[in-house]
Amino acid sequence: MDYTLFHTIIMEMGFAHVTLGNVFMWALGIILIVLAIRKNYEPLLLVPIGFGMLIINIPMADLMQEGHFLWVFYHFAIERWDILPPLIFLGIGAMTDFGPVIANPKTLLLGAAAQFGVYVTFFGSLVLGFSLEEAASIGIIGGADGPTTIFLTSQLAPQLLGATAVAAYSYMALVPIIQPPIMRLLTTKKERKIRMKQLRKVSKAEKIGFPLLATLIICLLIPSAAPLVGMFMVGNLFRECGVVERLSRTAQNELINIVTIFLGLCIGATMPAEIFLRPQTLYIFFLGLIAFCFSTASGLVLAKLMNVFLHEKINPLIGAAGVSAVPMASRVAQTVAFEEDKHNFILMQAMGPNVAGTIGTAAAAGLFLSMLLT
Amino acid sequence: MIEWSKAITVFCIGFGGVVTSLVILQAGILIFSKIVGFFETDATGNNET
Repeated sequence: MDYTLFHTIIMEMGFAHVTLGNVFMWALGIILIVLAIRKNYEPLLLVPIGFGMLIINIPMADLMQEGHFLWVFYHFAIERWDILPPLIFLGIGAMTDFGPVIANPKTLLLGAAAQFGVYVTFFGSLVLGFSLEEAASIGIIGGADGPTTIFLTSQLAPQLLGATAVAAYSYMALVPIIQPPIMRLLTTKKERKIRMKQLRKVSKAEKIGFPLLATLIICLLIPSAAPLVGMFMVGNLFRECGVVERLSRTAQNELINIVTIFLGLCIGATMPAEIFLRPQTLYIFFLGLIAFCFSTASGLVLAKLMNVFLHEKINPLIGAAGVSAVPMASRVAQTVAFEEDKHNFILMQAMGPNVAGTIGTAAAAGLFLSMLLT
Repeated sequence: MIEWSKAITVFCIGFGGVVTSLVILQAGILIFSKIVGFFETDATGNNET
């Protein structure tokens, strides 16, 4: 009997090549999936990412080998053309209401301040031995914006894509846990009780004009941010103009869902054990947390500083909503405000810096690209 | 070897650029809202916004 063929078949099986690293990554992928399902931690991304981590660590499946299934999506949609994150932004723009920003434009400053954490972590990453491009990719986690993190990292430091994307989405899911202690530490009870007046009504013309204005201003200043900001704003225009309801519905539903599926799977597929299981990955998670904390703190501090000059005080808790985790960060600001005063409604005011933070993070990513992309 | 001068330049241009662009956007929104408010003033002179 010829045992050669039998041996060949056995060696072609994944079982023959499983390593401890593979098993660990399966466990990690399953943990992400369980957290997404049981605790509702960013399930739309963490379920496909977790599954991608699992399947890419099956030996001999080679889904990320050139020409194979996941490689095709990853190579063309992310690595070569980087089109998935802007398409996600198209959907997010169609779901975003910029009314709070238009009604109170100074909240844009809080969105800008929240990007300070990005740069604190940028320097911290350099000290830990990362290159400029890697440091920028890690720092942008502080913006708490998954698509922007993916957009930037895939161009500047694709070898870190898996770790930075998982870190960004994990910390976005952990906003209700990470932010409140920082908010209580940096504000007084009196400040948290500040009531803000109701936002003025924003006209339809303003809501239609805003995406056009924002596109022109941001993209003329930072052309590298055009893919993200442009798609964000065209999605918003679809929503606000009222005459392309089916485009708006498609952007908010079918398009973003399809893109999310492939984005999540591709991100998960960038995490084979030999790439993910390095000390660098732990540093990235640690630095990502630092970025997030500093972004929260810098928004709070600027809000407190603004109150020194403003006649009508703002509740500094809305400064913490300057991170781009929309709408979770706004809800957290509201929750912390309710702790002090059950009749203090600041959710809509917090949405201003919250959506401004998305623009700020996209702008920060655009500037990193124009300075560091060779 | 950390390229500190480049890193500091990236920080200054990066953070400064984000702040500047959002300040300009803020100014743009304020001006735009005033213009819209002016045109949306109805016949009685009341501002509809």
